[in-house]
Amino acid sequence: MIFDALVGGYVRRYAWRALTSIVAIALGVATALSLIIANAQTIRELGSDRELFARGVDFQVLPFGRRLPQTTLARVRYLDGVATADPIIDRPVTIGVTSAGAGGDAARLVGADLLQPLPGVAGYDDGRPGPFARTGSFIDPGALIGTSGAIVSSATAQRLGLQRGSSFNALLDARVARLRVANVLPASTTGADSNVVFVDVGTAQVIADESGAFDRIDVVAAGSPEALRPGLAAALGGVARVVVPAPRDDSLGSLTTGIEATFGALASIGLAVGGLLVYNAVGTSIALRRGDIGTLLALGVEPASIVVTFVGEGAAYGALGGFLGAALADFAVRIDDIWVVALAVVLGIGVAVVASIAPALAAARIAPALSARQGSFNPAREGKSKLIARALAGVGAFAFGTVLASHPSRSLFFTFGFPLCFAAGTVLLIAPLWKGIGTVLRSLTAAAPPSLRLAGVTLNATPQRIGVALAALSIAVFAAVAFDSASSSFATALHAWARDGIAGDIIVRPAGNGGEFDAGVPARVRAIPGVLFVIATRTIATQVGSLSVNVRGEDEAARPFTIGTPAAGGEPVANVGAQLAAALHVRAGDAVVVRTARRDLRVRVAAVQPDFSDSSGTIVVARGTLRDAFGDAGIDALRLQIDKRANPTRIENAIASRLAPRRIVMVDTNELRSRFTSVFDRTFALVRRLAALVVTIAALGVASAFAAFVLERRFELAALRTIGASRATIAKMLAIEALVIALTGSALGFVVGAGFAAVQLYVTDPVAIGFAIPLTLPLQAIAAVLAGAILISMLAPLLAAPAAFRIAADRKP
Amino acid sequence: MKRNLSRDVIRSVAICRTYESAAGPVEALRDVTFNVEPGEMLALRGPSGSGKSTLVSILACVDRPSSGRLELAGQDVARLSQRALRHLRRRTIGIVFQNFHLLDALTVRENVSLPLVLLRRDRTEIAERVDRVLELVGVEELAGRYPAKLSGGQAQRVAIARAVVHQPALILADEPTGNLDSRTGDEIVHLLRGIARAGQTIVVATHADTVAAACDRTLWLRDGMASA
Repeated sequence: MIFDALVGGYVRRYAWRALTSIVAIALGVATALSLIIANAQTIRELGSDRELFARGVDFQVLPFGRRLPQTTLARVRYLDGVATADPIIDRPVTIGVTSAGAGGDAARLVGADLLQPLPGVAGYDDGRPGPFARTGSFIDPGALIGTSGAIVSSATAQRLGLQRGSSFNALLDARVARLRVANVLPASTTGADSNVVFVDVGTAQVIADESGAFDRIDVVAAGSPEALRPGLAAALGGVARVVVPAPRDDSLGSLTTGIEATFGALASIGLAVGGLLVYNAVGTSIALRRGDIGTLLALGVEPASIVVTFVGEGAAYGALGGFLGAALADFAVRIDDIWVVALAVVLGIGVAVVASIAPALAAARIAPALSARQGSFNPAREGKSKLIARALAGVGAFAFGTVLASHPSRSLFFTFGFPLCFAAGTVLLIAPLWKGIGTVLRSLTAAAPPSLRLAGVTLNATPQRIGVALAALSIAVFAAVAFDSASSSFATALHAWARDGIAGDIIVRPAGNGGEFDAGVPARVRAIPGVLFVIATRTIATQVGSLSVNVRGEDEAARPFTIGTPAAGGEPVANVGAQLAAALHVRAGDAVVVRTARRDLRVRVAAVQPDFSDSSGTIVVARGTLRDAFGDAGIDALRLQIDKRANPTRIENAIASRLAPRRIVMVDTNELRSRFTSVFDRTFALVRRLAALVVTIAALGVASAFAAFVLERRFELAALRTIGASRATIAKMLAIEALVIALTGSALGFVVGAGFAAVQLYVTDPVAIGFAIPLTLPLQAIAAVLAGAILISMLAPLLAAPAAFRIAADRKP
Repeated sequence: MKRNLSRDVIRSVAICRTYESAAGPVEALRDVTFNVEPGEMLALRGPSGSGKSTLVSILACVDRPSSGRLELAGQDVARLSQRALRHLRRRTIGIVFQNFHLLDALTVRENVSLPLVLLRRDRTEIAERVDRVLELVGVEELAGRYPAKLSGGQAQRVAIARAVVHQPALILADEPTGNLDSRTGDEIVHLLRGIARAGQTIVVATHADTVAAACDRTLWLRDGMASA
């Protein structure tokens, strides 16, 4: 009965306010869930280059250059001390394409001996054929090899609508291969990326046109790996290198780690906004029920019952909000698991309960009613020293958050502590800022309109509840600005890299990857009308220290720019990718030593450039330098810049004709760039939409709180009318108050949000991913967010004024 | 006539109440001593600032005296914990407010039954008692209505019903006619008088002469001090 008396009746009367709270929690939950799931999906789509078989593999034999000849396998496999030596082909591939090669999803094609137990793949080690030991299903070797059989993950099968026996296309090097599903990995499989397609190594060689070559050999030692290593290196005789597999730094993975940390932290802010609005809603509910609470306390109700009642109200909002949040998140990112829905409900309840405790405890402290004079409010006033302390605490919170942002650890404490400190700082600064604004308004001269002066007086003594709604708006705007700024900055950097890092308009390669162009090919292609210039390149995989790198030699004479200037003494120079430079702790002017089969190559770093190209870092040198160091004068790719007015298709046809009968692969780099950036763009677009929703609901919360505040003051407003203030004056006064509240919240949110993004990009990212990404403020998007927040907040006077004016001027409270 | 002090519903001996304010300590009550017998209707009168509200709060066990001794229904209030005070208030005191203080979300019947709900009485007992007191105060036909649909007089009758339904030792009425017109106020006074005659002890804080005239005696408060 107490719950119905205090909550039920209120909810029935102010259903829209209760609905706002529920939607606030829902959006907070939806934001958090969507970001968490979208992050996971993004990383899966990018197909981070994890070492699939690294666990349980003692060594990997890698080539100097591009491919390992098949004879290498014989050198290794029968060596004393070698338990197993598995040839592996590992290539990026697009699966699910049409027969013309269009569409599809990025994936990895891994060719391995699937009839042997796979080392390091959890659960498949009981010696039965292939990875199906656990499932008890055998693979027919004939099906696996003879019909280009493939083993796919359950996620891939679900996405492409595949089952055992289904066929699908895979695009590799402009060749479309037809594969058949031999089996589907169980969803519980560990050690296998869900975006990997396993085929037999023979099938992979056929598809990749790599007969007689592998990408690497995975070696498991029979005894001590350290005892095997010298013998292994000697057996290889310098034609290949031996490395201990370690999770390779993935520049894409690091980048997405940076994004993931940012978005994960901002998801917590989405929940915080929802929680603040629940705090506000419960607080408003309590304020409007103050008389009833006092009555019940006077009748002898235990304060604990009051607390439980209002926490229960919050929990109810949280449960409904959690359900609704899961439904909303499902629109943005597909939710397949019922446990995610359960998590959403638990999350919603948790946030709402935490948010409700403080106002509920305050309700229990309300004085029991004896001779109540209902209708007036007692504004909470804070002394100067308390306001100064708040301001200092707010600044301190920002400073501490910045310290957390600079810590290399990515544990939950640091990841979430950083943005929550910024949120706390925002909340702490509200009251001092509010006081300052009120003081300025209050000091307005007699020349100012009455509505402005009355607004100044009121704003100077506004209850704490408006401060909470204001904090929610500030934090929501902060989150939106931070979202937009961080994502725009990442997107700008990615697009810039895609534009500048994937140079040229067309990339031409010999089909099969094992081939090369002869020395005359660049000139023949350059002679085609419409081709502006041609860069011939050669890329060789090698090592710098223990890090695997790619060294790319570019034909300097044909480039419109140079790779730095040679150092004194003729020492070769190189441009180094930013990720690799950070891993090597080098910068421009430092030296880097590159391993080759013949002798080590020492180069001077001329410049560091952004590079998200692949899993290894890239060092760019002149092709002459590469030739001298590796004895390799081959050309394995041409990058063409064509005239903007030329027809790319005509040029591609001309290239194919000039180089016929040589089979070639041509890649339109615009397509490559857009495919690369589209994954990020999708995630950023989702994040922006969610941020806008969070701001909208926060603004509605401000409007709701302000409306309640006006209703509480209805007798004061009636008194103002009694002494002569017109309805128009009062309406203007309310509009000014709402505008000041909205402007303050939006301005504070903008400043904090931009600061947060700057700290994220210039403090956190250099630690997390090795380099800073320049801050880009998307002013247009931010302006739209701020304008929306202000306009929606201004709804409050429109909503509340008519109700407030219904109170007769001479009616006693 | 010799009074049997142990039977007094209220025994107040030199109670004082001092508040701290920005201007220094304020003595709201000074050495207030009085007793109230069972079935007595006492008027508490005094100008604004006399300490009337403070004394009412203390009698309602919402506040404690700074010094002195106060016994309610034989219990020494000073010795009781906050929890025990609340329990005492639930059990032994019924309050009638100037502004009625009915809960808008509950019907008349539900409002009246609140004290019994708080005392965890069973449903049958609650139903019986509520019906009886609604009839007593003359609002039995309004049982299903919400407070927003009641007139001032009806609302105050319901509030009185709520105050008596659990048969408390003491009813405190704080300006019970303050928000009513004179005719309705007279009806309420008449109702309270009838309840007192039935043996209920009532203390009424009031400015109204007509209300005081209906009481058995008056306790005057001025500047925190009492005189009969």
